[in-house]
Parts: sequence; C-alpha cells; structure tokens
Amino acid sequence: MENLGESETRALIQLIKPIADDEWIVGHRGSEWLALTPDLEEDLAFSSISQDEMGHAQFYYELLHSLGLPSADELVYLRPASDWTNAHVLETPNRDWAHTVALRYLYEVLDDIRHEALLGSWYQPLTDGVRKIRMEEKYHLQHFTTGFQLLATGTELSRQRLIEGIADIWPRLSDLFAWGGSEEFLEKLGLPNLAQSQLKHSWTIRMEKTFHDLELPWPGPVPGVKVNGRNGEHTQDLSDLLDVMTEVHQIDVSSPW
Amino acid sequence: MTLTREQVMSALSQVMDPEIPSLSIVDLGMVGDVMIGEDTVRVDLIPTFLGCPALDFIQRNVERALSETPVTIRWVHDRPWSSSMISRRGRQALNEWGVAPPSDTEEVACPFCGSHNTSHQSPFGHSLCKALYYCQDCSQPFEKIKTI
Repeated sequence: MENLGESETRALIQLIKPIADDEWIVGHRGSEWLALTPDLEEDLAFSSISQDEMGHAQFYYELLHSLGLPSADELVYLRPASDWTNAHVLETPNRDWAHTVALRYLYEVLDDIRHEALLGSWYQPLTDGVRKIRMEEKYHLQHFTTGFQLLATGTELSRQRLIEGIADIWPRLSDLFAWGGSEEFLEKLGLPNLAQSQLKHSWTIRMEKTFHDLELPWPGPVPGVKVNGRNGEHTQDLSDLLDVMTEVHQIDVSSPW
Repeated sequence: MTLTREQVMSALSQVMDPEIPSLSIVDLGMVGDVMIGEDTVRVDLIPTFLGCPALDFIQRNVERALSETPVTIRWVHDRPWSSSMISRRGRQALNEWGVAPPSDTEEVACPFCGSHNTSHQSPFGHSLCKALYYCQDCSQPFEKIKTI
C-alpha cells in the first residue's frame, strides 16, 4: 500500500465517501422494485443492476476502511442519517416506473462522467476498482438509456409520466454534482475534472443532446445547491430508508447475510 | 512445511463455481498469483463481478480446500477479471451445463442444439455474469456468460 500522508488520506475519503453512498442508496432504492417492475425481464435486469451497485458501494466502503474509516458493515448499518453523504435526490422514495427511469438515467450519465474522471487518479487501489466498475456500469447506462428512450417515444401517457418525473427530480439534482466543503481536495488528488462546475457542464451537454433528440421540453439549468447531502443534509426520506434497511440489524446485531 | 505449488493448484481446481458444478475457479480465471511462503500460502483471487454474492462462498471453499496449511486469501483488483480469462476447458464445462460461453462476435451458438439461429433477449440474466438469449430452432431460452 502507498504511503499516504494525512491530507491525501483525508482528500481520498472526501472523494470516495459520497460516491460510495450514492451507489449504495441507489442500489437500495433499486432493490425495492424487486417483483414490482413492469415485466419479468425488467425485474431480472433491475435486481441485477441493484446488486451491481451495492457491490460497487461495497468496494468503495472497503477502500474507505483501508483509509481508516470503520468497516463496510458499520458504515452501512450504524451511521446516523446526518453522516450519510449521498445526493439527497437519490433517497426519494420510489414512485411510478417513469419517475424511477428518469432518475436513474439522469444519475447513470453523471455516474459515467464521474467514473471516467476518476480514472485520472494517481491512487491505484481506486483506479483498479474503477476500471472494473466501468466494465459493469456500461450495461447500466445502456439499460436506462433504452428505458428513457422507450418511455419518451412510447405512448402519450408514458411520455407524460416521464416528463412529470423529470419535473419532480430536476429542481433537486444540484448536490449530485457537489462535494462536501471546499473543492481544494480535488487539486490535491489531481482530479480537476471532478469539480462541481465541470461535472455539471459535461452532464448538461449530454442531457441537452438527449432532450433534443427525443424532443423533450428542456427543464433549464439545474438550480444551485439548497440541500447538500454531501454535508449530511437530508430529508426525512433517508431516515425512513435507514430504518427499514437496518431493521434486522437492530433486532439482532449478530445476524449474518 | 507448506504445500507445493502443484498441490495448491490441484486443490484449487477442486473448488467449483457454486452455480456450475463442473466449472472450477481455476478454469473460470479467478485464481491470480499463488505465493508459497515458508509456512504459509497466499492465494490471490480475482472477483468476476464486484457484487457477486458467491464471492464469500468461494472464499470459504478455498479455505476449506487448503485447510491443511495456513492460507491467506486476498481479493485483488489490479487486473480486472474479463470473460476472456475463462479457459478452453472452462468454456466446454459451461456449454455442457447449458450456458453459452462468452463470445467476441455477435453470433452465439445455442448450448443445447448448436444452432446459430439465436437472438439476444436481455443483457441481464438471473445472475450478474449472464445475459439472456433464445434459440429460434429448438425454442429454448438459455443464458450466455456476458462478454466483459
């Protein structure tokens, strides 16, 4: 293992924790669709994708553990909501299918941009994993791109529901691009492309193209950060999610998977 | 006195994929470096998919297969697993079990009747590593190991 200085270690934690939490929460909400998606194939696909996401989160949590944070199990089961750093829009309870497809497409594009940028890191334990994750994520992006297109070009109702989903999500997207505290740590890590302004810019270009191609009304620029999940700011929805997720653990601490 | 490299590899070739009983983790390409130390053996394992729930199970089976000697198992990520790491024998074992091996071309042979008249149904099968296909000739749905 590399000899990391204290400030590098802190910077890596600041970078990796939000990504781990995003992946975990997205995987958890995805798993709640099990047996409820519109068709059997989708059920297989979405549960597979959710399992992937949780696997990616687990990889990141183990990396965080190697950097001095508690174990993956402790990070997932024992943290209060105020210590979670996922983007707050991801904790939104599932609504209809179009809402989920909209959220996931918007998320997967950001995740793709973020993972590509992470490959520029000098921290090899991270880039090794990211390379692997990208091989798996390729299928997720494909899946939700197809789903998004299908709903946008399907029936009047599917298109309407998709537009409604986007309208609900869009104003709450901002902290997806943000980081906790100052962005100086990105300089330390040599990852300027991960700056909030950069991420938002790259993401917006790809979105504008999709919305244009599918003739969807452009919702305008993503508003600035109001609630920043990266700083532990969350809605009641996250506390509710954590209550459900940790229920078994709270009943019996020794219960294994 | 630890085991020889041959003994370790022979023991590892008895550890099977939990879902495909004729496919060993060696043929699956999951075994990385094996280091034989003075009084311990270190085995590096390469995860196929990061979220695969069988990984813990496989690790326990490796520990059991090498229980005669102190063994350290590490999951390594420095060379990501790819489906091209499955050996010729592994590909054959997959086919015999009814799962099409990964392919570089679009053409996928049905593991049941050998027909190439097959169609891709979904990139997601019942586990992370498999995609769904359908054979137009023998009307059999089947799975293929994802090419990654």
